[in-house]
Amino acid sequence: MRDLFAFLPYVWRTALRARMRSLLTLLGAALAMTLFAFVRTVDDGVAQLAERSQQPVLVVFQDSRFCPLTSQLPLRYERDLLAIPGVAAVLPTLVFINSCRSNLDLVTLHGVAAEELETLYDLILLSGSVAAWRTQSDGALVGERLALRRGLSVGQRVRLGEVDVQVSGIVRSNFAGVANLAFVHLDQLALARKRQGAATQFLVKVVPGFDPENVAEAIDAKFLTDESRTDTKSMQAFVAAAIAEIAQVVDFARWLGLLAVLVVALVLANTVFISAESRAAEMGVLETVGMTKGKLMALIACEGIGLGLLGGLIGTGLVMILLTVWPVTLGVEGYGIDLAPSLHTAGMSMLAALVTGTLASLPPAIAVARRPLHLGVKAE
Amino acid sequence: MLPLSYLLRNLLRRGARTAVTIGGIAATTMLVIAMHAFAEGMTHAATGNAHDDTALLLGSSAEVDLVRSVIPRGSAEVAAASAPGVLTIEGQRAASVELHIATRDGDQVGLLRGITPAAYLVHTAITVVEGHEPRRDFEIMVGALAATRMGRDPADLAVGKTLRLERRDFQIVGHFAAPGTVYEAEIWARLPDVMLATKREDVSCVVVRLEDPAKFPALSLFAGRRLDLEITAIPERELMQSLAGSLSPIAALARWMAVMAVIAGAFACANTMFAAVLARTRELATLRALGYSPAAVAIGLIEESALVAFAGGAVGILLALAIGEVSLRYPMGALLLQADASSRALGLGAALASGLLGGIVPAVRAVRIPLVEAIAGRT
Repeated sequence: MRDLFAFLPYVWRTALRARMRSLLTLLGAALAMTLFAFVRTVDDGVAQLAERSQQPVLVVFQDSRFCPLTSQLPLRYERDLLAIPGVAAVLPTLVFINSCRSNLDLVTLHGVAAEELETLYDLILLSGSVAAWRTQSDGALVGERLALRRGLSVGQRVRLGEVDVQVSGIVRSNFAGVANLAFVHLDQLALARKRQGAATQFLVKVVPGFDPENVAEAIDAKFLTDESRTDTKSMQAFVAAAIAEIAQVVDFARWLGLLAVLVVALVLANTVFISAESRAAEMGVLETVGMTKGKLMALIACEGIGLGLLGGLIGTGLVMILLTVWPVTLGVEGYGIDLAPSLHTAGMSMLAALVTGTLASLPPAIAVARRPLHLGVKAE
Repeated sequence: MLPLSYLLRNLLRRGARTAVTIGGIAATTMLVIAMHAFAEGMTHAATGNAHDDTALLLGSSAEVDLVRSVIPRGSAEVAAASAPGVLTIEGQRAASVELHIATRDGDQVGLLRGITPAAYLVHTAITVVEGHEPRRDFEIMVGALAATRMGRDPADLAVGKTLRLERRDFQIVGHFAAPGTVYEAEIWARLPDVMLATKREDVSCVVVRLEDPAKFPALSLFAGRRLDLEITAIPERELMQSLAGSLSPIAALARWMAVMAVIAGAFACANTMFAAVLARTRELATLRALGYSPAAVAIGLIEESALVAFAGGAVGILLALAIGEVSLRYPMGALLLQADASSRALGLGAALASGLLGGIVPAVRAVRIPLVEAIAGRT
């Protein structure tokens, strides 16, 4: 292995000798890896949303309703919910989102009673003040991702989802969806949306030791014959149902990512073929002076692997820079799938580049290295 | 000009390299076809069924969203009966009172549209392809993509089967098609049945077909003057475009990805052609010494590149056709991806563009080497 590292400067010089070829290969690989890294970011965004939904909380929604815009439950249900055994706390929430369809500019408003907000959510205040929000009737606590996308700061007046608010604070939470929503006062949102006396959903905290499924069943049974039937699910199941809406598109994107990797593989294999063929005599000389077939093969493959890794680095870097400068969130049923660059995404993309480079470079390297010695020397 | 047989023989001489390049271009072509079909499918599904002579009366607080729109049934009936400029077909006003519901059953979401017989006068894209339209209580007909939309096996939605929606059993009595439109993902039932099942006393909208698109201002004036009805008028095309607006950034993203794939393919082609030029410096110089003009040699090289690209494009198209139609669901809709004529043409065009872009620079470089140096093999 040490011998091979000693040959790295030689590999580097070989790549530089055919500058145009190396540059074209690098650019081709970089562009295709950009596609792959982007698709990985979508995939990781979905996984992260699913992970954040693993909270011991139930979501009570109107039965048979898709999208928060269509669910409507009477606020008086809060009292009945608190009377059900196993229910520790209830947070009525009026939700407004700018679109039930997929979109790249999701704005979600959660109208909640100020004094009850922190009974359900564990919020980390990044800036501003929760106390100020409580006392300010048009105040909003904005999720960090929404604040980033809209360039919001504390004290700023802004129109979010057709409601004028003043940013009282910017918050972070491990709860699914919080990063892309703004908490506003329930009364203000109800007035703005003409939904007084109604909630979109109730978040229910279950008493430790109680089976959440049993509590969910008890809740749905309680309202079966009431004004509006309910459908109660764990937060995890609720978010999973939203993600399922976009699952086929994500699967499709995954296939496109694999196609992009195939393009990288073929570009690299082509380059290694060309490079090795044009240096047949040189290979013959190296073998004559004692280099083994295995080392020869590794030497040839190194060029493809190196170009693949460099292409992966450029492609992944490009995606990370672009998504940092222009944050993108894919909205689905009120939840945001953040296309946020992460070390995991970068690591997976670089791993893909390494594996692709290796798999693409080995066959041509083996083919050239297996050529009889006399043919290589004869080429000289 | 260099004969075609010479160009073909050159490609076959370096078979492995040519095959790998063809593979790369084929993968690029498939990427372009997939991205284009996705972008077009999304855009077309939202806007494809818009007609200039069709307009909607929505609840005045709905802006442009059907899901948010609410009109009391009585107001909707009054509007349907008295709105000016509405087309009359065989004595029937083409004014359809409708209720749109996105209904969830477990993890499945169906798009349910409650309609009256006037709907068939307004939505002309609909063709009943099997069975018949809903006529009796709790009968439904389903669109061609309704199974995809609900994540179900198409066999589950065969005529004669029962579908449970809103805790009611609906019997499937027909299938309809409306290619390339948002209707295909929907389930249609009679308006009273949908209102009963969903416990709704209001409707979503009134869709009207006008005698002439020029009659829209009169309709808009009517909606504005009848404050008691609390309705607003909007042309169908404008509504569809605003709905498509939320999807257009996603479609634009797909198109950008396709452009990047084409550029990557062009680099692959250029790479192959550069290698071909370098390996054949002497041969190309000999051709020039024999009397072929630099332009003829350059064109020959570009033709070689274009041939590889064409072959790659053809393989890509054949593979895309072999994969066939793919249906995808997305929130509030479903679309059918297919390698239709426009996608195939774009895929082949992209492949040829890759070949031409990839071939021009090496070809120009090849003929710019001084003849004496080229014959001596110095590049």
